[in-house]
Amino acid sequence: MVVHCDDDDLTIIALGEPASATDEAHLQGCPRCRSRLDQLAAVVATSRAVRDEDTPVAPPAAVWDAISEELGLESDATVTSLDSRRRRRRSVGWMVAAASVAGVLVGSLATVVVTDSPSTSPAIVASAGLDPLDGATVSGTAVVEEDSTGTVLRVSLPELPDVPDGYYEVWMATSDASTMVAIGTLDPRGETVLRLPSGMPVGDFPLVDVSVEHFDGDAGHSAQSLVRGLLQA
Amino acid sequence: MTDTGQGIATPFLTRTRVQEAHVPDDADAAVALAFAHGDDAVLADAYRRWSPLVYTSALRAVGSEADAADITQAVFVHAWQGRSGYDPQKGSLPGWLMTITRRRIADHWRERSRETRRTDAVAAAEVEVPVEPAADSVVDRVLLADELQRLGDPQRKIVELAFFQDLTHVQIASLLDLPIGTVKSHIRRSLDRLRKRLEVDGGAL
Repeated sequence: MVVHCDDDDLTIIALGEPASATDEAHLQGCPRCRSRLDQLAAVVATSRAVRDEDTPVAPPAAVWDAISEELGLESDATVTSLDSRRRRRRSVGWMVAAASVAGVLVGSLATVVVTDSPSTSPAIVASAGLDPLDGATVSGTAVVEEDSTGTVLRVSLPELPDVPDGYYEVWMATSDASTMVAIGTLDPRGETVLRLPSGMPVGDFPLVDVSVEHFDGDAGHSAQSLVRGLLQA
Repeated sequence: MTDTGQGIATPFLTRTRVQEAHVPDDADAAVALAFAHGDDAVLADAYRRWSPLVYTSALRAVGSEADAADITQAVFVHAWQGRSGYDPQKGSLPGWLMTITRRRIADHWRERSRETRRTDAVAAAEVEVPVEPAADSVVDRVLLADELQRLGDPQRKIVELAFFQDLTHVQIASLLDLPIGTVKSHIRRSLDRLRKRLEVDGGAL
């Protein structure tokens, strides 16, 4: 069995330290390790070329004004944090803190009214990064959107392998995972948009979870979760 | 259909894997998604997050604050008007913005060389031809400067000594009184993080 160079050692070599005799000999004959070394050395070279002046600085304020004018944005469209704008736009808050208790979550998205936007494009009410759980390698996003017709959950994951004798199911759960609602099945080929039941107190279910389910007649969660994330405004 | 807990084993409660800084955080991802969907309010937020990368790359590439400001304006106007062409599945929003930035920088230099040729023809005099730095390397340096700033200690200190003061990992270990293996793995993780930042936000490479 070929023993490739250790990544720690390749890094040290990429920085210019001499390779051990073993690594030297291996690198002679292994295109894979050599190409990895070249890649690391290129990053080292660019990093060493970084000067203080390369540190990002904000453009002068006039630049945003010019953009705003050229695009004909509302005059009050100043550069503020997304959070504060969002909070103003909603009549009901969606306050989700990590590890908060379910009792604090009282927002009902069914009554959300977008007060200051005449646009019919959907408003993003909350979103979550979906992080892989044990053994999984995929990650994606879930977004709760509100438009004139209701509330949807938009789940974006990269293409997933088909489940033999099964499927993927999207769940929303209370933050302590004591109560879960099955929202629908996930299309393994890209984005899935699921309409949330009208009247569902969405704010009470901030955890989004995607599970692997089988055609076994058991309507409960399989306990095999692929990804999970906490919705935040 | 509500499940009251049946079949929910402990794994449901364990969150794994702390995201590293080069991975866009949830807020970044939300901005990118909203951008793609054309939510007006989000342009200001995208601008707030990523205009320093665009502006500083332009400034370092063209050398003039006024030209860098023009390029920054052009990039965000172009990006907003062409936002339907941005697909969050295919890459990061800053990566897309940096691709547009590279193009604008290249346009700037094309324009300048046309002007220089015109001046040449008129004056028939020796004109100092501006030196064009490679837009790619400028953008990469700005991204790396940003990521280097985000390194916490002790990684930042170790990277400083290894990259910029050319100390060997053994010297660093003895200077900071850390095990050699720890120093090596800090350097490896930091370099990997820098590499990934270029991969994710470097735009077309």
